Amino acid sequence: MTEPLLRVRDLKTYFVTEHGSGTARAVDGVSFEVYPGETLGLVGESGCGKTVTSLSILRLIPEPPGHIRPGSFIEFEGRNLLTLAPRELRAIRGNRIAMIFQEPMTSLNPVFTVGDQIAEAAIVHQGLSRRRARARAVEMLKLVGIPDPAERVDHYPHQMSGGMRQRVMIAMALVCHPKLLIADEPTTALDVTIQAQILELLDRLQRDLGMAVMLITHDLGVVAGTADRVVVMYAGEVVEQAATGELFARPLHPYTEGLMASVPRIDTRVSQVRGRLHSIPGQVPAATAWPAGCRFHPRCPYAWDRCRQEAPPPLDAGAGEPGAHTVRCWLLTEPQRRSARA
Amino acid sequence: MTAGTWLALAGALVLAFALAAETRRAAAGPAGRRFFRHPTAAPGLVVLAFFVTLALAAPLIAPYPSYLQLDPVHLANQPPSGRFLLGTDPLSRDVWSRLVYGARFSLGIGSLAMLVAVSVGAAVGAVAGYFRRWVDALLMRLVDVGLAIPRVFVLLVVVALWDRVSLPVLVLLIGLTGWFGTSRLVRAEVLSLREREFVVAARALGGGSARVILRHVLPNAAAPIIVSAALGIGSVMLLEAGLSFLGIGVPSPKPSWGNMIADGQDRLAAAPWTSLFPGLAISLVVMALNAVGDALRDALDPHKEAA
Amino acid sequence: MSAWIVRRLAAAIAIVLAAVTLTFFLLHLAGGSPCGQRDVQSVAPEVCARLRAQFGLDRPIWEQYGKYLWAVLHGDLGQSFWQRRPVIAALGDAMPNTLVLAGTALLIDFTLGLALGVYQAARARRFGDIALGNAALFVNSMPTFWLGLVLLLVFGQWLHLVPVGGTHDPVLCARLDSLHCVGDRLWHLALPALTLGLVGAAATARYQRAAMLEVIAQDFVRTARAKGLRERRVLLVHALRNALLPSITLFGLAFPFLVTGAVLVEWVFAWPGMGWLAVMAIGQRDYPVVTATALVASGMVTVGNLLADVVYAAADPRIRVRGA
Repeated sequence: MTEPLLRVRDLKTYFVTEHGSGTARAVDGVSFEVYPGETLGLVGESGCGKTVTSLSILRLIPEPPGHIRPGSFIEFEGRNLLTLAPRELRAIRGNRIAMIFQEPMTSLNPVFTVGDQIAEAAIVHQGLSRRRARARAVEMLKLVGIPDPAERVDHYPHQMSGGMRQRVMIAMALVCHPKLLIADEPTTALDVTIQAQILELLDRLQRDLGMAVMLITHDLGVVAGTADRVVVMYAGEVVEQAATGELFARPLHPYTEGLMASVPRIDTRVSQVRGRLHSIPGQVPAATAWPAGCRFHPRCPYAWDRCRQEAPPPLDAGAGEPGAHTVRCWLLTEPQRRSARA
Repeated sequence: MTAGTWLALAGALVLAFALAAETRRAAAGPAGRRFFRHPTAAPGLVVLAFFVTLALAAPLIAPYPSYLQLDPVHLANQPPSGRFLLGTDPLSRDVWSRLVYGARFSLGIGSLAMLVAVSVGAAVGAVAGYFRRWVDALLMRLVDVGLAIPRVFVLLVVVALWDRVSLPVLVLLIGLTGWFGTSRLVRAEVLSLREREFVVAARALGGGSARVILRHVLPNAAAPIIVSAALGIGSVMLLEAGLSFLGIGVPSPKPSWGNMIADGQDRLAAAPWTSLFPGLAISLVVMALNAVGDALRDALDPHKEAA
Repeated sequence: MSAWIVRRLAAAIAIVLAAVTLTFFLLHLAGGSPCGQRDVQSVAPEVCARLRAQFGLDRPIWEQYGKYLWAVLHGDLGQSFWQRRPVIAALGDAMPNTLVLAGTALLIDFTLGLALGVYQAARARRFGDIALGNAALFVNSMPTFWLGLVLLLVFGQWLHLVPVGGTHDPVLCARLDSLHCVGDRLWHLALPALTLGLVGAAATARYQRAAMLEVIAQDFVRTARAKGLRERRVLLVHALRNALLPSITLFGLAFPFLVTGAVLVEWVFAWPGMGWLAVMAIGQRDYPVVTATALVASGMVTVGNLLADVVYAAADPRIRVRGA
């Protein structure tokens, strides 16, 4: 197998809470890899640490109150991002690894034209002149499918719709042809029709530019259509990871099962959806007090004594190569309990 | 300074700390916690309590009468010492004694003028917000004008036209030129309150306008009024000090911290203490008022973040 | 946007008109003639009546008001008793001094205030921020004139670094050419402008710090960091450009403070500007000069606020572009 582009090992990002009364363990020992050119889906409910994971990669966690614990390890192209000097880190941000955010309405600077904002990264990282950078910005706007790019380049963000702004964000992220694009809920804030367009655009650009994409979403439906592999996060941990086909064919963690059951399928009729759309009972617990044992046990339909006392390690599900499909669940050791329930 | 006045001074200090500690103990609720979360709130309270004690117990604490010229020939411009805690001024008056008595004028004028300003501001704001339409339009245009004319110049004109102004008139003048900001604040509060259920209910039950405003609207707009008053006393004190410094506020020989600064101006190099200490007193009190006002805003109006 | 400017301009004119009306009524209330309450005994009743007729004070009040308005409109603010020349001439001498002082103070206020505010926001809740914050709070609580005296004592009297008053040294300036006199004038300007500027800067810094912190927490600042920009560029270009917008409003608020503060600072430093003129005139019972300075001060504040509003509208692309 090829070398991974990005390797995250035992990432722990903690936050000191408001009045110093406790520590929120937002990301608590997360490991995964991203391979060149692939799309990795990072899935989970809000509050389970997806966004903090993605921000940690570029060290964009505000410190204080946040900090990445020693012992964490994020390797990109053979270098540990967590020990880079600020100057070396800047050479990677926006250049080798780029990021787009959930809120296109607030993620663009309101007082600069979109052209200036796109050109900026090209000027900083590639030393382009202002004129060439501007021409590049026009090119990028065209690439992301904005009509009249030569005119739009001088517009301010408030003159554009949400979908247009997300396209601008994408243009801005891709201006230096990064090797890895981290897209944090890129479509959540958009209308459904626009969502599909943006996902399609990302898909096309990934193939054209040959970059890897880390797609963060709470929506398994989004992942199903675009990702090669999926990492499912719950309560600051990776609970299951596998190739997309394998995961959808054989979800092993009860949390993954629950997520899948709550995705409405195209082929279900609306009347059926009401009755069958079963979501997981309860909600993600507070990051200051994860449950003991398996963190999912308070919401798990199969939980037994062992789950309450002992946290499961990532267990190999034995599909293909070792590590291709891992699950953090004791059910793997006692599969009969699943069938007993069902 | 005699043993008695030293003792009184020590007593004032102890009392100030005790008062602040007692307030802290009594204010145990969430508002109290928000108040004392400000690191400067407790020291601010101590400073205020100390100076208020000075003003109230002035005859006990001041070693000399504030007017007394001890010996203009031999005891003028004496540096601070055990006998004259803060030195003497060019007329051989004890600066410490004048500072203690001056607290009465400076704090008194500041709070009374602010009381006038807040009362007028609250009344105008409540009327404008409650009746709306042309009443509101007219009063708010008046406020625009009031805010555009610098207060000092209005006071200068009045003083120029009427010669000497007596202290009560001075208080009224400062108050009557200082209510514009408060009225805007109260109006906004009343506008949002007047549509709330309990006010609508009071009106539906046939309460007269004055009654509804006084009984139902103003008490609920109290928080921003109190906060603006606390923050306003400081600026009023600075204004009074400025006027007294120019010789058109509190008339000499009555001691106000502002005119005390003027007393020392001519001998600044030789006897700086005459001007320095009263200025320090004003700065401390105004800073304490600002600190307490900021903390009060957080305590009473938690949704409005301190700037 | 032009309709908005016209409305805003009309409001400004109305405010100035109201100020003129107010001064008229104050004058009227006080008697407004050499036979006011003052020195009544010294003027014979017949003389008084003649004077009243001569000044038109026997006419109905609305007619007097119209005349007053007409005169003010033509720059006729009456005669100065004390200087024995038209008030407008006395003001003409004083006004440039005040403008120079207030302008320099404004410059110090905003450059220092903005720099401190940005620095504090960048180091928020660390030692430098807390120390500067408390210092600013203290300076902001000082009487301006007292700070002036303290600076005068330290830099003028003890260190002999700067002159202690006036706008220039007449003896020195008489011998030098005008260019060297400019240096001397700047020398005299330093302390008064610094006094006024420091107090203003303390307030500006507090405001700017809060504005910066609010902006720094926003998503687009994270976007800028994710782009790989230097922290300096993130703060000084992306954040500051946004945080400057609300500060323009502060610019408008600074005018009343400057005009008021100038009165006291001019007095401390014997700086012959409008404030100094007004206080001197009070001593001389010269009320036409005092009322005229009040009028001009109100006008300056109104124009300042108007300017701030227009600049704000022009600087914010969200307003500028939508309105165009």
